[in-house]
Amino acid sequence: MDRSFLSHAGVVAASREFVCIRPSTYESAKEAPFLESLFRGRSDNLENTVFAILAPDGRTRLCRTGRSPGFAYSSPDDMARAMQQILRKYPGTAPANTTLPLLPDVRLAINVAACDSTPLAILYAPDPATRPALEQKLIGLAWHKNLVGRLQYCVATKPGELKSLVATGVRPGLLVVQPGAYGTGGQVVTSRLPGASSEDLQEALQLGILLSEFQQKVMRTHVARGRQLGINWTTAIPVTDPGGRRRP
Amino acid sequence: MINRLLPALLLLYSVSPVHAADAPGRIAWFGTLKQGLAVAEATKRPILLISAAPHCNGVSGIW
Repeated sequence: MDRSFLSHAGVVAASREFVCIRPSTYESAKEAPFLESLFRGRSDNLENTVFAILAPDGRTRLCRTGRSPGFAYSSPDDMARAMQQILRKYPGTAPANTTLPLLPDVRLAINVAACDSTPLAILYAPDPATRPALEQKLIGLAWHKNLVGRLQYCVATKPGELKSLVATGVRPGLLVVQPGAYGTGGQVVTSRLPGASSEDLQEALQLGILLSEFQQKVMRTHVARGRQLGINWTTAIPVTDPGGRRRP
Repeated sequence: MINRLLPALLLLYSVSPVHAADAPGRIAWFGTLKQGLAVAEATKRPILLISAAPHCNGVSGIW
């Protein structure tokens, strides 16, 4: 991903008024055709990254689509200005911060959290009846000015989904996890029961952020060490990026 | 509990390499098309989309 654009203060500020979607490439057969419809690389296949700005209908393109923001904008400042112009045309009719932004499953969520160097908040609800109230509290916290964008979120409903976590006596509720460097597992750093107050949940999320530490990652050394450790991520669908195929 | 842990946390904070707490403002992403497109349609807000593969040549933990 192109962090120089997506970490720019003006882009981040404008993003608060957009709906920001980051599907994980090659992790969903259902999502792949949509991504391919937006951009295919020189190989005429889905590549590792796809970038677009779209109208609320999800179809109308509002910029040149490509592999990264650099396909559409000359600089992060240029992108931030363009986003502000788009917001004047599409100001929205309701806030987008009334939904908990979720990753599809625990396995992928731990990996995405590792990629982002953020903690992961797991809403663990084996009893479906406990989910709505806890989720409602987490929605407010996920978009809180001190927490927005600083954690990933997902839902687990079965103990088996938590098998890659280091934890003792996991109970339903909120689990805050520090992912391992390779995103294949993580450690529960704090947890709360389903009936916890919003203030208690906020304390847990902030504690998770405070306790989580990450090594700076350099692509070359991360990959080389990962190979030594036998890390081999299995994607949901075949990788078709000519430069990003998995090892045989 | 926080008050009791605070000295230890501050010590940890001072000696560790990179903390999530140090990260600048970040974009909050919906992780699936289904959820994100539904929110955009319901709120009539424009969409910032980037997909990325959470691995490099099969090694996870890095975009």
